[in-house]
Amino acid sequence: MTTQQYQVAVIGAGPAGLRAAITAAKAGLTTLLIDDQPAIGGQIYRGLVQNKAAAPAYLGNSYFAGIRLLETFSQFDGVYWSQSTVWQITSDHQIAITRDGRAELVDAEHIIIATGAIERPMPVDGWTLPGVMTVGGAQTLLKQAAVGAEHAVFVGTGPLLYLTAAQYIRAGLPVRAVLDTVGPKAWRAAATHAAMALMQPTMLAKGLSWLATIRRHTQYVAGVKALHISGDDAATAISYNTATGSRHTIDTEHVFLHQGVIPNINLTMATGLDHVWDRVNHCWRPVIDKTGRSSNPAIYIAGDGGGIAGGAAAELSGAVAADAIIRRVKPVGSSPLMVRLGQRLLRWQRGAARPFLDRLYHPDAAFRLPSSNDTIVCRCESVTKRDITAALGDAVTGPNQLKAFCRAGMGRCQGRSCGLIVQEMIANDRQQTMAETGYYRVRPPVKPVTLAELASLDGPWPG
Amino acid sequence: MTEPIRNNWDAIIAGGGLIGLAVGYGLGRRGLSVLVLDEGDTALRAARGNFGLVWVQGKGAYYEPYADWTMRSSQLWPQLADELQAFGAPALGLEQTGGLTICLSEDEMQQRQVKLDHLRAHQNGRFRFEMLDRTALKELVPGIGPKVVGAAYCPHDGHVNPLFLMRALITGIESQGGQFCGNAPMIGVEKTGPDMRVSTAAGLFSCSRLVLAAGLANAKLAPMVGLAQSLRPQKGQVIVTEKLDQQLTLPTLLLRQTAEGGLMIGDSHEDDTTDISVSTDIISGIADRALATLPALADVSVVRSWAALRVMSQDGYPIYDQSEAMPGAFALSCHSGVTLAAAHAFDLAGYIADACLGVELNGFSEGRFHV
Amino acid sequence: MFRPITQQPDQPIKIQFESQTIRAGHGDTVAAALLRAGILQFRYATAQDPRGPFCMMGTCFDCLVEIDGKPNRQACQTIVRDGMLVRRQLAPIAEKPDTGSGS
Repeated sequence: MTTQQYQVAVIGAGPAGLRAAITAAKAGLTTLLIDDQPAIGGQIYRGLVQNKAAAPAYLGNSYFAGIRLLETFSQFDGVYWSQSTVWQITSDHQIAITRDGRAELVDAEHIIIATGAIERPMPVDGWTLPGVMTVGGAQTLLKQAAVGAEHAVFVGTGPLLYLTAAQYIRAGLPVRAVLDTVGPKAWRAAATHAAMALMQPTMLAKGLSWLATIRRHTQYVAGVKALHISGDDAATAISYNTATGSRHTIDTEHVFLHQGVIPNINLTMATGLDHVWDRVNHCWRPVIDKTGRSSNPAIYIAGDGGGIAGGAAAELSGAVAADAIIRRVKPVGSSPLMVRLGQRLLRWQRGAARPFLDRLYHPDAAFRLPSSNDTIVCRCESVTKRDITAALGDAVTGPNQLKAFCRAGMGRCQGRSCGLIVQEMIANDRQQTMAETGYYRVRPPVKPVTLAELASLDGPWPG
Repeated sequence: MTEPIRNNWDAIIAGGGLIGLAVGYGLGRRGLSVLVLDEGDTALRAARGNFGLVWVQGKGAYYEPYADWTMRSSQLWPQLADELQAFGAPALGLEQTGGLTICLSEDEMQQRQVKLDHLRAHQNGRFRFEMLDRTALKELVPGIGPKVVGAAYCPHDGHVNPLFLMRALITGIESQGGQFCGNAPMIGVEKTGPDMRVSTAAGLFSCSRLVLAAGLANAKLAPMVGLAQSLRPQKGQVIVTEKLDQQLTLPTLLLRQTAEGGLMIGDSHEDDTTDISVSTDIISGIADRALATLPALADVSVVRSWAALRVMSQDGYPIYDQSEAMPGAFALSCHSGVTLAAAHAFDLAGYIADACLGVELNGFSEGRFHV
Repeated sequence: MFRPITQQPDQPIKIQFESQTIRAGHGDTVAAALLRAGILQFRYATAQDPRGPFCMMGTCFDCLVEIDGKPNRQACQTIVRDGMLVRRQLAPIAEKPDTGSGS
């Protein structure tokens, strides 16, 4: 049962999706914006709609810079469906969506997927204990509900780790410690890219100020190893080795983990788009051209979902993708010069400070893989490192064989939490590259859908 | 890729699916050294697209050899399960306490009855079944929906975890000293004296028994040993739900609850396609029928889906052939790799070890299509 | 313990978690409301394997709770409603599924 038809459907209301939808609608294309949250903003501007009134200072300027985008969106005259979950894009680019307890199909001539990024899995011993969350999760709680934990330990690496710890401190939440998995050696290696990085002084200045706040207000330890979170019904402590080898334990009920973000590829993979293993950033990303067009000419990817580049680049890439579609639909009257400028600016933004940051925050193998045999790897199915090791063997040529043998990857999250871990365990076992090893075959529904919702699509009984 | 440990094997199996693995395990039981050649992780693999039924009712209703062969395998299954469990593989979860074919109309009931009556007639009392009306069915499945008219119950039916079966067979083969070589499909074969030499990306290997069990790829491999297998793909789609408390004590043809608690729900029969993507209208229809069967499942979430290509012969029955041009070479295919696993492991492997298919399998030659 | 940043957050909404009444603000997710009330264990993957919210963005599926009789709802993706009835999501099968290593 098809409902409406649109010239452009945008999936995801973060900066990329918002700018894409605004751009397309402004050019007169019939536009639908679909997002699963109750308010726009995606991850980076989560809660901004309700926060702009209360404006807590601890969230910082870059967050509130998003208000400009929200205000532009208030002029959007396309259709906006909030609390709507996309669970499939069919081969003839119909979009299957669940909203209000019903499933429906939407016909779109062009689709812009702007579903952003997710946290890179960090399988620390004890990471499934209640009280352990991702740093992104802790930040979302702060933004959306003004809720935080006292005496939490932040562990890992990456700009989001330092930003959130700084926001916590500024919000008056005492932070017990920040344990940095990147050591002094990595800082020096990254400094070789410092010249390029200095072309983006604000990004680096921000990072240095967060670090200064952290060092002033809490214990900061660099180069930690051998992490272990202990507890029974909930986390009670985290232990670590320092760079010089001495072991310490910190009592805490809250551990926040982070080691960077990776493109959220479940929808793009389930849609059958081409992907490539990005060796530098150690993640999968969809194959796209400079406008964001994927291997399916009707589908574009904008934002971090096409490759991690941050909020500003995301917004620009949304405009670039929408522009490309506008030029296809209405070739006369578009401005190729502006479009080329947009693409060039995007390339520069992606290029400048990223190599420095990518080098600096490239997660070490020790933190990408589980160390103890009891560590759960597949959270959904409670599959441990021991279970996976027992299943590995000559017949496990890749993650799909492994999935069949021990259920890793069969749960609701469809590999978002375990996919990269499993892929690397197999690559190591078979002594092959990550690219050769491949990934789980991701299939719809990309998010769970109930039988009643599915049946409400009124398909014919197959027989 | 793994380097095979040696070049000479008693038996080489082309195809690491359920047929190849069951026969490979059986040959290992007979003392033969076995090498299994398989494709890579994302190959078509009908074996990973199996519903898991060990199903007797209806099979061979209009073709006696198939009814006999199916019943035989069903009776041997407990022995296969016991042997494989002894190697320490995860629990296969074999249950053979009966199965149901749910009917949503009087027409369906009648058609089913006619078919099963026919099957019973030529099985000399060996095959038992019962048509259950709503009242009788409600005792077995209390949550049955108002649209359900009844069901055909067969005490011989059952189910098993098909993926753990695959893993267990591989464990069995490896415990017997056999080897599994992935990313090394068979490329060609030539006769070398009484033996055969098989070429693959991993090198050349010789054997005195060559078993072609490569699913749809058998159509391409069989002519290499002077045989033919006319096979066509038939797509089936399945949805899988989150884990639940026990909803069903018996498997049904289109809906079964796994040992872990998830419901597997099928299916479809789509010809003329090799596209294994999942289609919204088909899975919507599957969900529809599931809710007609068990309405209480309305708020249960579907967490994944998959599609696979059944390996279908012209009449849907197995094809087992031995080569005359290359004695010792066999080509095998069927679409019921789980139900027939026991017959494959014990009887069929035995014939292959003896280099001669038994007369009971005459009805499964490709030649039956050229009469 | 999670706590609100402001001293007197506006919490006109009341939801029920098991036997507890919990206050929440407009637009709060069920996850935020429960965490603020000191609840960390939202579900039991197996009897020995408690879980709580991990990603807060709908990708980890560890915050599953039963809401108004419907099972396995993501608490971080559901906005509170006055009178909502929330219960822990217990594993349907108490034992860890057999994944073949004897562990």
